[in-house]
Amino acid sequence: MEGDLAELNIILCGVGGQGNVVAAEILAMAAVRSGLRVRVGETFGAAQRGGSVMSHVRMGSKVWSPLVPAGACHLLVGLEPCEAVNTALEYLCAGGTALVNSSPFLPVKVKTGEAVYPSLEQLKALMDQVAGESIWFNARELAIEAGNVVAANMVMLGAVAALDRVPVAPEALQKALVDRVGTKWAEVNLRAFGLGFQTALASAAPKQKI
Amino acid sequence: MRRDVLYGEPGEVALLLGNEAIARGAIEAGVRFAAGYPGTPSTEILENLAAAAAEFDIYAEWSTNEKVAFENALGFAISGLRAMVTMKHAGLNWVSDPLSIAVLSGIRGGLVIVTADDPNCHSSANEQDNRFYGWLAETLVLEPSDPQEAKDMAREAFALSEKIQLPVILRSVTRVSHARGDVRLGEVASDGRKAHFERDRERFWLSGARALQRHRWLHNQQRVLKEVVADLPFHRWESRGGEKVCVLTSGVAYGYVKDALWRMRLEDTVAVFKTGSVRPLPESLLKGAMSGRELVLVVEEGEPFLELHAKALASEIPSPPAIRGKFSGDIRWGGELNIDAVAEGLSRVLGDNCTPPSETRTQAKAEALRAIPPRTMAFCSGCPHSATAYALGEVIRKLPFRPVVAGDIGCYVLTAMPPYDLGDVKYSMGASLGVGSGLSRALGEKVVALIGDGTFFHAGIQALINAVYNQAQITVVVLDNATTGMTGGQPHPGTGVTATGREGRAVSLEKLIAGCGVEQIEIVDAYDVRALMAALRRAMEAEGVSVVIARRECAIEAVRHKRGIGARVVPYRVVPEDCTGCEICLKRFSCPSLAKSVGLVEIDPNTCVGCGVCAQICPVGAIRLAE
Repeated sequence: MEGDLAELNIILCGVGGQGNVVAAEILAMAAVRSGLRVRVGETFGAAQRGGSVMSHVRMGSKVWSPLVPAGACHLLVGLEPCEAVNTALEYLCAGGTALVNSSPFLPVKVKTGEAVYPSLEQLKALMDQVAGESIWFNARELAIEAGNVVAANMVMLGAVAALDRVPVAPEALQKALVDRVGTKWAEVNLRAFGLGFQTALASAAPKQKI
Repeated sequence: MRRDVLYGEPGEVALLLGNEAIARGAIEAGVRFAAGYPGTPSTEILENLAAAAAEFDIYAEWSTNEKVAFENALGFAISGLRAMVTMKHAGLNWVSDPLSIAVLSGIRGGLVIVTADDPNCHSSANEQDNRFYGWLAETLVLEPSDPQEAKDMAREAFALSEKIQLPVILRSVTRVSHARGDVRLGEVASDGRKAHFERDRERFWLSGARALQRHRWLHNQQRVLKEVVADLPFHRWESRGGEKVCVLTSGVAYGYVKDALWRMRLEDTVAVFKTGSVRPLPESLLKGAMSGRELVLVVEEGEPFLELHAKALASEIPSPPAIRGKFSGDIRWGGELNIDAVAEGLSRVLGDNCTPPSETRTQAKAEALRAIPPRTMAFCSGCPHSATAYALGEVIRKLPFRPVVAGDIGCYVLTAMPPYDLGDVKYSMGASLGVGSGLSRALGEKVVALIGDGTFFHAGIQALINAVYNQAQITVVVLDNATTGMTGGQPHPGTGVTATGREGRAVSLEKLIAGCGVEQIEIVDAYDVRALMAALRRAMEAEGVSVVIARRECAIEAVRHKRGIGARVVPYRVVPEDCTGCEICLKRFSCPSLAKSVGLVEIDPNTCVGCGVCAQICPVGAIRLAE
């Protein structure tokens, strides 16, 4: 496993409080346990107060520093539509894959009526200018179905597992998830993971490893 | 708290945050004392050492400020026990005073100062390269390049410190401290030392001739530093031989260099010398690396620190190479580095044919810029600072003049954002009272100084005493949310809880302020809009120094407590029939739970914490408890 992969760059993006960082941690933990060299780069701080958050997860033998260069992201996981598009335009490689939660998290300016949130159609069109494959689904609804709206991040993680792009077995991700959230919260988070997995499986193109 | 940090077995590979790795390194070295002040990107180091305290016989505390933390650490270090202090870059400015004497006295037990610098000032008022302190203090500075090195250097630093008899500076940055990586864990040493203070006034009671003598000793010690640095296992020399170009690098920049060279297929064309110590440099190794080259490109995070010294060293080499980097404009100077910045620099010095292809997408980006609204920071739902800012804004609005508002460091910096726009000057921790005092004297009018409870304990007391004693005209608003909020909710003396969760002795904010001589003090619930406005009005009218303590627990902490004890949060709701759509709650007040909806306003019941402030602000009483 470790010898095969030179470089795989994944970015998880969203708004502070959406569980972006925890999802990235689980992904990275599972990768380390699979014997991969891993680097995760994040900016904490402003996140809690409604700001944009990005977690860069890099894995492979030819990976030294924690930040993905512009245009070098292979897989984008967007917990929020606008964040996903902004991040994709900057970081996603041409033809890269995007998994996006279609449920918006309104910025303050939209809440106060000073700005308008763009339509999903416009956002999808912008995404398709760079992405080779993009899968959009309402992770928020699936999280509520799983039992907790906050678990949308685990829905997205499940979707990542279904794509089979990351050389980490879904079981390894699930184990890392349970280790990270603890037994009290494991059930609802695993359920969310499962729902994301099923949804992505149903929508994804035939599996291809990078 | 990461179990791996505390309980990971030697040889195990764990995913660790750089800061967790530093804590683990200190644990492996048998550290017995850890102190610091919360500050991004350093905070997690002390949090982890506090979590490990009971298990590993470590005394860990959050100190009131970094100077006090360092002084306490000295008590351990001169008694022969290993100690660590942690801080963001600003903290070393506080430490510099006692440090300047500590390096003359020297230490017995290893003392490691961790400074986590913040290039690009993601979470700071400035960016600052603390490697320079290595020269001021004339001591060893190590710079880790990733979480593994952060652990290993943190561990080795204690033994190195004891060898050179000086505190050692470990300089981390955001992209190491807040990056995660695979880290192989080591053995945890059990440090069975007993503290013993050997009296020696020649060392520990300095002035005049003794200080001079010790300064000469310090200069002499540089010889030991040189020997130690020559043998460090943290240098890397990567060369096939005969390369015309060599990159000189250290710290996180090493990672960017490796990534850039691989992407540009230059690994076999360009040699790399990465130094583990940035002060002193391993001179003969470095001179060896530079000899025979045409060009040395220096790639480092921060100021041209290595570059300066490389230039000085180059003068000792026959036919020295050209030294390029930030001074020559080849490497970005200001802000942080990344792979692209390094690749740009490499292609500049090597010739354009090495430039990696760049993705433009300008049209799509321009469209996105127009269509996608910016995501600005805002106070959390129920934040008492938002309520205080509203009250202060309303009071100021009615004044015959517009007072200057001096702010400080903490979540309340957001008062300067719309819709409040309250905040004219901000410097460093605790500066609001002093700057406010100076402004009030220069302008001959009342100035408002905002300061948080944590910040006040850190650095506000001195300036308050000064304001009273020298009779400044300031109204101090202490935003007391019973926590050190911006950095994640650490305790401080006002809370009476310590870093390890033990109950400590609480220090009363109001008694302390009264003790500083302030007569006009009022304590008001920040959620009580009317009472707060009245108190602020009285404070602004008062002569001299007046203080209003706007007190209410941080909303995040409050909700956490409620959830912890199983209590429910009852939200508020807008009664649509009564809402007139005046939007005062949106335009004059800031809460992310409020949103405009079809001419009216709606409250999100999932995020509303039930503070009731919007209900008090609503001029028609259209906002009420949802149940």
